[in-house]
Amino acid sequence: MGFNLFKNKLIFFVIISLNVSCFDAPAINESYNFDLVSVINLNKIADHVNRPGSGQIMEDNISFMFMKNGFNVSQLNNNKTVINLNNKGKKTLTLSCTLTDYTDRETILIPYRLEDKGTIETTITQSSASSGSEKNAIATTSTTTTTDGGSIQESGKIEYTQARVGVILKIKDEDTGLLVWTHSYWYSGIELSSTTQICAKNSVGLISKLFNN
Amino acid sequence: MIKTSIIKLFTLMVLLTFSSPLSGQSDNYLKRAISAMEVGLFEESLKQLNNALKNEPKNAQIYKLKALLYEALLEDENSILAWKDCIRYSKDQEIINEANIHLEYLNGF
Repeated sequence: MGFNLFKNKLIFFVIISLNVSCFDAPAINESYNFDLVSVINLNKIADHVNRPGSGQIMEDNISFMFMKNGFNVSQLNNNKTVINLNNKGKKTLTLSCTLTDYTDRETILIPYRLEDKGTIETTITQSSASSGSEKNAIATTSTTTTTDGGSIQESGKIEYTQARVGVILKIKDEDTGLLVWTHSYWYSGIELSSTTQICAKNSVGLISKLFNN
Repeated sequence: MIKTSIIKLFTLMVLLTFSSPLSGQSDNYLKRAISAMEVGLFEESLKQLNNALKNEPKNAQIYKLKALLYEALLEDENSILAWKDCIRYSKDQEIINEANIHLEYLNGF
């Protein structure tokens, strides 16, 4: 019994681990030497069509997250953001980000069961019969019970809205135009601001890994 | 001669309707949960979702909303458990993908 429970838990853990590890990874040019990069220029991020100002919000979040990861971030007079990697190399990369989703109005439906538990109806009838003498009256009682078992239907749905922020990130070598890294990513949440922040955090976290070795 | 008189003394009907207090409980709990969530009362929303789960312990969408609420409250451990339950009971690949994205983030990549 105990062994079976342990086995089921182990199988579940393996399935979860496989699901997580099989998640979409970024595409990377393995032959590119990221150690020679000294600067990343962050291109201006265009607003999502449904949300004016969303590009600037994402740009600020990305800058913030690069700083949190220990990089020097400069914002130049021409509104360009530059991330300095403190490397001795001379290569420059350009990071561009396209907002594919930026909404706090994604409708989610929760189905629920409409459950009718049924009814129990009991009828009690009492009668008395006499045979001439009042003293000999006989009382009889009968009971009838009707049961309705009820039913279960899966027809109910209730909706709520959630936030969803999605990005496509591209990094290319500024001199050659060679695309060296791309990734698409999205995140969902209850609040748009925190969802944007997590989306930027995860994106920058993945980019930072390129320069950690 | 037997004189028989039948006197109907009383007829009692007892109607025990269990359906009225219990029918649609999930519906009510979910409505309360979403109303609470929309005004930022995440703890209250979680209480209502837990009540809804008593009626529907295998509803993946309820676990998903629970996980999102725990994330908003920065209770990562509880969020991870809720996302795992969401995966366990979901048959929808999109929800499973979403759960995996969240688990990846919560587990620190």
